Amino acid sequence: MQPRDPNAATLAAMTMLAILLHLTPARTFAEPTYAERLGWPPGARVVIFHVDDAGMCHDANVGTIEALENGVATSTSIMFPCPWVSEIAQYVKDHPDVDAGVHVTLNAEWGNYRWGPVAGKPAVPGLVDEEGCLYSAITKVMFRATPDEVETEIRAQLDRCRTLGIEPTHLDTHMGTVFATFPFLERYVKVGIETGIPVMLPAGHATHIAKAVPILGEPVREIAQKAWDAGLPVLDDLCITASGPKEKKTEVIQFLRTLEPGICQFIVHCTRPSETFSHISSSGATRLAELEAMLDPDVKKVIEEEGIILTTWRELKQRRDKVIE
Amino acid sequence: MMNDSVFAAITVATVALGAAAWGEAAGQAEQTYAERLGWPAGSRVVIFHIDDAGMCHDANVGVIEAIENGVATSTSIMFPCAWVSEFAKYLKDHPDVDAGAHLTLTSEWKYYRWGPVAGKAAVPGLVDDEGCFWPDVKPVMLKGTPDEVETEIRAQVDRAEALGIELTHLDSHMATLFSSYPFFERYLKVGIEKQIPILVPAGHMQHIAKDVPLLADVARQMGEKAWEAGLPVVDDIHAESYGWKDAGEKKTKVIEFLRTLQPGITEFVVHCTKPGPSFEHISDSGPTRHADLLAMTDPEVKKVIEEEGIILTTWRELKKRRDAMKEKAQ
Repeated sequence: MQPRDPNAATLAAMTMLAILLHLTPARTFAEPTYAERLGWPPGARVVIFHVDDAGMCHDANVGTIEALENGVATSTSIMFPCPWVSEIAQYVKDHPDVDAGVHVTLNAEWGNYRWGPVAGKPAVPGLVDEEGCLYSAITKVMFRATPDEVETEIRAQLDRCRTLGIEPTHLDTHMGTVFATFPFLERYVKVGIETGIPVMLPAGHATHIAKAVPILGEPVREIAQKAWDAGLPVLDDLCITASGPKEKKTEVIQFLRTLEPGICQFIVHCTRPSETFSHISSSGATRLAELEAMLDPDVKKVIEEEGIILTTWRELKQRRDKVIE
Repeated sequence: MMNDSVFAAITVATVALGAAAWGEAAGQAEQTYAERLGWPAGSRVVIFHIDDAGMCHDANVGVIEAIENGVATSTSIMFPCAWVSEFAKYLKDHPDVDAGAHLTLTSEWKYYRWGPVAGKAAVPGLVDDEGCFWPDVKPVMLKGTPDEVETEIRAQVDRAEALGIELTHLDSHMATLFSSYPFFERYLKVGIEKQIPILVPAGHMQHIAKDVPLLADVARQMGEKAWEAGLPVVDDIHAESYGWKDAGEKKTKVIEFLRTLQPGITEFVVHCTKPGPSFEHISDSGPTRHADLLAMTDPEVKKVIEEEGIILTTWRELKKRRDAMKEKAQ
């Protein structure tokens, strides 16, 4: 089986959702950004450089830690079904200021290195393929899993996080699978609201995410409004990097130079790939380039020049807690 | 480390249960299980068995090398681990390879860990505060119930079946299933019900009785039940190789094992691994595992096997021989 490009997969899932729901195009926005609503000055451009896939393997943990400690990355999220979780959990416990969330994982997308649901197959049979692992493809999850199973597995992953002694700063989604159907999205937001944990939702101008997934906008905005009303912060935009390893730095700088006001989460998968990584996935070069971009002095300089504010999910939540509406 | 914990667990269990009350050691004059399975009197039969397939990529590479280029004849798979899919693909392409379920109820490394296939909600007593199996045998004995153990055994066997793997046998990671009488019973029960041979030493126990003196009577009792239910058993298990860390020492001792082997079927346990640059992040056991691989592929070891007239076998062959006996008896 060919390893899948998570970005392409995310795109596919989001497109699928949009088609299923027959959505209208995104409306234009004259409202204040969520950055402003969270107390930053008008026009403020706020970024979370977010490292996905912590805990996936040792090399991902090394890359995540490097990007957070020496780079501009500000937040990460952990794949709780994976065997290297204990390593990153130890790091998070030793560094309690690190912003770490649950990277809700409903897929096991590589050929030889795979994981199953934390809840166990008997509890969520519709999430499990013939290898006893989570499905490789998002479409399989869409058609075989029930919203109840998705919610059970989200809760099992959150339970594992808390059992480890980590209070997650946020929830987000591996490969975008919780965005693949509206009922999945509802459960994801429901768990966030119920537990008071922010959920990643691009709900503002959505410049980048709307370009990647043109018709995602409206239902996410509506559900994000619920999250906001329930006291959770949300994002204005989400940027999924699409360039190859060689163009990565240029893409990041371009992103920073052209950034619109609001809070945007820029997703990276920083990894320090060893020889072992090549047996997991062919994405090592891209992931290394994302790590190098986060460490690059030019990137840091552009952030300063542009006056871009870096933030974390923890700060977003603290600011949301202070908002009086 | 593994032998120590196995030893400790079994000792605790047998002392706790008063195993000595279960009867006397069997007489020395009995037939070996090798003879009972149709090999000539005096035959010395060995399964060189590689534990821990599927545990990580390096283990898979080591297992495949030891089977393809070495004297290893059988392996068993840790179904809670993330590299199972890789090994399962190998098995589909090599259906003759002898592969069982290495029933796993512990997760013994610090940073690279796994949890129950059945899920925490189904088997909460098997799970520690990281959501993984306990790192050692003792907490499993104290917190896991026999029902939970059986549920997890069945979940791992189910995963094998779902993967299309016809298991040649069941055995026990870190010997956890030998650590309490009720666990041992559940292991035996699933083996009998599914007619999958289980690893249980039931004959002279030259090596395992020296390693774990108090195991003998319980094992013999369980072995007889398995045999009566139509499953093959072995005479002895040799589980000391993990403690031989130096490759030269290991080779010498493996040869000594072969030269002094008693008649009967002995399973010799190894953990062949080709440790890559990342293995050290999993465990410091890379050297002894690599030395196991070197011993299994050593030409001298092969030569001694030939010189001594030692017969190498598999679990599949043991089962076929046991089945043939049943047909004869009818």
